[in-house]
Amino acid sequence: MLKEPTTAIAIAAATGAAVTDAVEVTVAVFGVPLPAVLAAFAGALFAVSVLPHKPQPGSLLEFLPRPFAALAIVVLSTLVGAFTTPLAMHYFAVPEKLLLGAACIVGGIAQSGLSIIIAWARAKFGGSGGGPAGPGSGGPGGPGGAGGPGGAGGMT
Amino acid sequence: MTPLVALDLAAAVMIAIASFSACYAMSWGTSHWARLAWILLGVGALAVAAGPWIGARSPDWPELVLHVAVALFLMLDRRRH
Repeated sequence: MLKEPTTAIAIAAATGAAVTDAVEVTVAVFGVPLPAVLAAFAGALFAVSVLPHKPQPGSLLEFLPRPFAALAIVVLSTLVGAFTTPLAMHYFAVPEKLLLGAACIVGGIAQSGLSIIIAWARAKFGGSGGGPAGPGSGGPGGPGGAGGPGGAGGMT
Repeated sequence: MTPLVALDLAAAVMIAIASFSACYAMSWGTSHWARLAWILLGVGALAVAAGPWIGARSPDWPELVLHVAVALFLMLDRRRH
């Protein structure tokens, strides 16, 4: 079914040593299995269809027109979902066979999950750069600035 | 890249764009079956669009006709609204 891979693509693993009509292969895009990329894309599309897709004030995407910002969110969520799923699976000790489901979930929550992770990291490690501080904060890094609403400079 | 593959790629990109536009216009009140259908359409289109880069075979003419017809249908339907 599949021919030789191109330079950017590598055959990650080929199962079935016996010579059959169709050799089952797993195609990887930059080290990520293609089905995982597609699953992350499905999650990102689902997120765009149910979540408000207005970039947060101060976000890099705020200056794009709304449809392009939403498209950028889908692309970035797909990339985040595809590349961080193995990390998340390793961290949470998720079995390997749940890769597609995990990629779909990570791709879906990427746009809001990143904001939460950044806010958590700011609260834990400090730092003043990135997005705007939340309402009622004393400025970047001030009281409530890290964990307040809108305090995270995520993708959305 | 053969003309058949290029035509299939163009149709897949058009379907993916239509799928994204439909998902973008959805709200929480949208039928979940319609949401599922559009998401599956977009994922399938992306998989077809990735075909030339993952070394997929050249498309057969029936599936090429199907992809082009779906792409034209979606584009014409968008222009109608």
